[in-house]
Amino acid sequence: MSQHDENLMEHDYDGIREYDNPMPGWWKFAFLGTMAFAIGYWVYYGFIETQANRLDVYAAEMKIQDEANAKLAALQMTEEKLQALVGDKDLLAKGETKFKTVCFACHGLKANGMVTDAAPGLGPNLTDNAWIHGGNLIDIYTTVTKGVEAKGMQAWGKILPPDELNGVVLYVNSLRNTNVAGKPPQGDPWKPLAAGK
Amino acid sequence: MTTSTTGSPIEKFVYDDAIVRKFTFAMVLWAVVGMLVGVWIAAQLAWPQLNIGWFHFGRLRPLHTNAVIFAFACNAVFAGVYYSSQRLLKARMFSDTLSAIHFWGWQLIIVAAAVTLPLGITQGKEYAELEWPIDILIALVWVVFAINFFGTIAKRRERHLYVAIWFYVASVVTVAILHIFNNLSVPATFLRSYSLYAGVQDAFMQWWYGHNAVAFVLTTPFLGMMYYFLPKAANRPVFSYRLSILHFWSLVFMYIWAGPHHLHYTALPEWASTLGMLFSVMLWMPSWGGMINGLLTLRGAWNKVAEDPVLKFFVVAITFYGMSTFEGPMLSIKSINSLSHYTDWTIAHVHSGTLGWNGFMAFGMLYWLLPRLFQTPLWSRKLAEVHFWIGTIGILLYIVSIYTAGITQGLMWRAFDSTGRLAYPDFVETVMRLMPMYIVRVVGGTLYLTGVILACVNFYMTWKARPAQYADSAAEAPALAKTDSHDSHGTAGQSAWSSFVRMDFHRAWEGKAFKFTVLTTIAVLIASLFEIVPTFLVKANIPTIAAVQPYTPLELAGRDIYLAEGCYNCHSQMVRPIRAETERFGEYSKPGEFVYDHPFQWGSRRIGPDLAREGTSTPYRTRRSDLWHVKHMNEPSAMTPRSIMPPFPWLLTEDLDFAGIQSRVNAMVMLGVPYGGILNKDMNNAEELARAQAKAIADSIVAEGGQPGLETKKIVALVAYLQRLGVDIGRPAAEAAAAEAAAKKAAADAAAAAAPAVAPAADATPVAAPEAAAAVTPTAAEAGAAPAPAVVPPAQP
Repeated sequence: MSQHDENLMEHDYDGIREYDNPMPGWWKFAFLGTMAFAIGYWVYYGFIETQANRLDVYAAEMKIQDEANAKLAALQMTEEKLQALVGDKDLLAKGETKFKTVCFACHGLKANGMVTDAAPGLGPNLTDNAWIHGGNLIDIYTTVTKGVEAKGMQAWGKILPPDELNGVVLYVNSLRNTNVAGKPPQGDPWKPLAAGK
Repeated sequence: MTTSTTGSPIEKFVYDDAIVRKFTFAMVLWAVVGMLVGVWIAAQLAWPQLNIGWFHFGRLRPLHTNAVIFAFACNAVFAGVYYSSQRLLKARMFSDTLSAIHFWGWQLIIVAAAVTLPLGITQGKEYAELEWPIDILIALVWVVFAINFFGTIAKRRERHLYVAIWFYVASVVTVAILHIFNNLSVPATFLRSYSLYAGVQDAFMQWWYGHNAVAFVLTTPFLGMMYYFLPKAANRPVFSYRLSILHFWSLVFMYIWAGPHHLHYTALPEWASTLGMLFSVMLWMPSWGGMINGLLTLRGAWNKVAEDPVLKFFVVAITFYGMSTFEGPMLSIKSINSLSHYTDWTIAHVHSGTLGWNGFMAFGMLYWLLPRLFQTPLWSRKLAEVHFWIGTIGILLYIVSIYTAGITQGLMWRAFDSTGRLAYPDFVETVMRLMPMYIVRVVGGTLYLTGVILACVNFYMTWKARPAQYADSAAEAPALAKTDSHDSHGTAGQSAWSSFVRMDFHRAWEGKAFKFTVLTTIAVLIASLFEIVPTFLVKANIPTIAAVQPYTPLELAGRDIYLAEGCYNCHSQMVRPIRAETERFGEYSKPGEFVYDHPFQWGSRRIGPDLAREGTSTPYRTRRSDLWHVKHMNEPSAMTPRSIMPPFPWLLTEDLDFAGIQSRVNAMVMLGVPYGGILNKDMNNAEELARAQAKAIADSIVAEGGQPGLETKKIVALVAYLQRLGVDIGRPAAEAAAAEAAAKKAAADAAAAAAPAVAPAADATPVAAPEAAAAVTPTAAEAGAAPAPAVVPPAQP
């Protein structure tokens, strides 16, 4: 304490006194350090490394995304691949769970196009044999993955992981002709694909 | 008459403590109100069913922020300033009348805020929500405060201004500048105005204001209070006079530049963003100068900290100040900000500052003031101790949980799986993960509020024990001598250099209050001008986009509903050029897209998803139908299971004020928004156009299977606005031209047939194409001469 008292300044504000202690050295150096950093940063990114702004960085990031998208696009889903999955109980169960936590908002828990017994949902009845966008497995897959913008149907292709996506397709396929009372049929009646098509 | 050693006559005077008693009472009252609303809205996030009617998160969050900043913190500041300034200047406040006008005027403002905000009357700018009549009142009351404060300085009996007064001077001057320039607006009606600035510039002004509100409402006055109440309570001299000089000036000068760090990766020009970051980094040590001077003042007094709750509050407050002023510069670094921005990390940062630094400074000061103001010992020291501990635990629970929430959500948003797909594509999933943290926050907030209620009890009981008649706080001091004999606080015969290093020149400034104030103002203004002027002058900062057109009258009305319901408190409208972001929300936002946004609506927190491209399809989301929006606004969880968004059912039943739309459009026209191609020649058919578009949307809702009769309701305006968001940029130039033709035809038809029967018939749905960027012309085509004003809303499928 005593070494400070020599530094005590004369003035007094309502009883408050002040020491004339020097500023801590580390504080001064840190302050100068941040200033040096600021100048260095401004010079480096302003005049030397001028290709590192946020849009350049973004373009590099998007290269990775484009490559990934190309790979995904190459994985072509087919009717045959989906047919091979029919009967997979695990996938079907996954699909049913997903349907009842996500798809039900528009198609109803009973998939009959009704969100309650009285209120129609945004989506059609999926338990009849009428299909607006085609009733083949691959048609259902396309509708689920790409959505239907004109009708406000969400594209789920990027949101659901592949097995859940396939599961939902299998589940919707399994509802065909279960004919739960609900919205009247919309679209065209479905006929199985001709063999070999 | 006695005379002092300097020969001046000794004058006797009485400090005005009654006004301080009033401000301390207002401070605790509004603390309870503001924090109660805080706990309530925190609970609304954890349990969304607590959103009841108008009392939903969007409307109440501004009430919370305004109440704690402008009611609680400002009244604390006024109490501190009125108490300490009189004593530091050795003078009673300049005018008791002005003091009373200041007190009652400010409380009137707060009551006006508390009434208008839940009613949805708002400018839609964070921390500057209050509408123009209240803004004018704030400016007037602030000027009264300034006259009273500077008047007291003018009649002071202490030649030199103490460091606390420097900080008060900076605060009084700067808050006035910030408030006036950020709130400049054109009134459309008595309670609705539009910001003078649009888009990028509005964002820039807003965060120049917002950040410096933190600086000059929540930092500098509190530092001033620290410099008075801490040495008083500790009975120790201030650690370093020189440090206080350097950190004062560097703080005041550098804070002003730091605002753009709130806008990293947005459509703000990158140079501004870089400037904001670098000045924020440099601000670290100036801030810590205050912390060091606070903590080191306690040298030799730490034994008192153990016994005295006042000092305990101060120590924790200063510690939180140190932590949050380290964190601030850290969060301003762009790469860190890319993670933290839009998450709860910011909220945690703010609350470590406000609950810790501002709250604990205020309550420490309160416990020190109570016995002095009410001239009786504090009712219960023990209760103050309990308040301290319960408050500290409350802060820790609050910030630890919300830091965790922020970092968790930030990491979830940017996570990709090995196939290049977002690992958490469903936004709700990232919200659900935060629920346990939200519940802990409610517990922490409740504890903190409990502490405040204990302070109220202590306040009341101490007040009850007051004497029947307060003794005057009499004081005496010699009148100010004509000449300044500032003490040279060193050895005689020092060199000019060592005199400079010792900052003797500053000692002279301190004796000249007018000069000191002017210098402070210059410091603040220079920094502001350097920052603001280029953004307004350099046209290349905002490349215009020909396809971007003004909102239609109905969309404008919908936008007002968006503001009134406080949607911007949870939704951003700013997609940053970051892969995870453009994948999730679509093409990143361009500066030219916001040129008609008075005010900007970029938001600062994504409790819900970004809406910048809501009217388009994006990689992960298909464009919603009009009916989807209707059902979603009516009951969000019906369309998005587990959504925590409040329902807005009244939008489906309340009538839209079509007649009032014209005056809103007129205000926009006054701001230079080119409505020439949209309205008729007399510019007076806004209502007709709005009705026509409303009818078209209502018809499409019916066609999709929705309820009839919505064409007169508020919901159609909001749907029109939401469906317009992010659309323009994807509109090819040819389509824009076609839209123009259709718009003119629609306008002519609407004029010919008074009946609202125009269904704009563009049938291609505009989708944000990647080539959208090609539509950006970096030339500075004057917005006013933009070729194709289009009235056509995004086509209904």
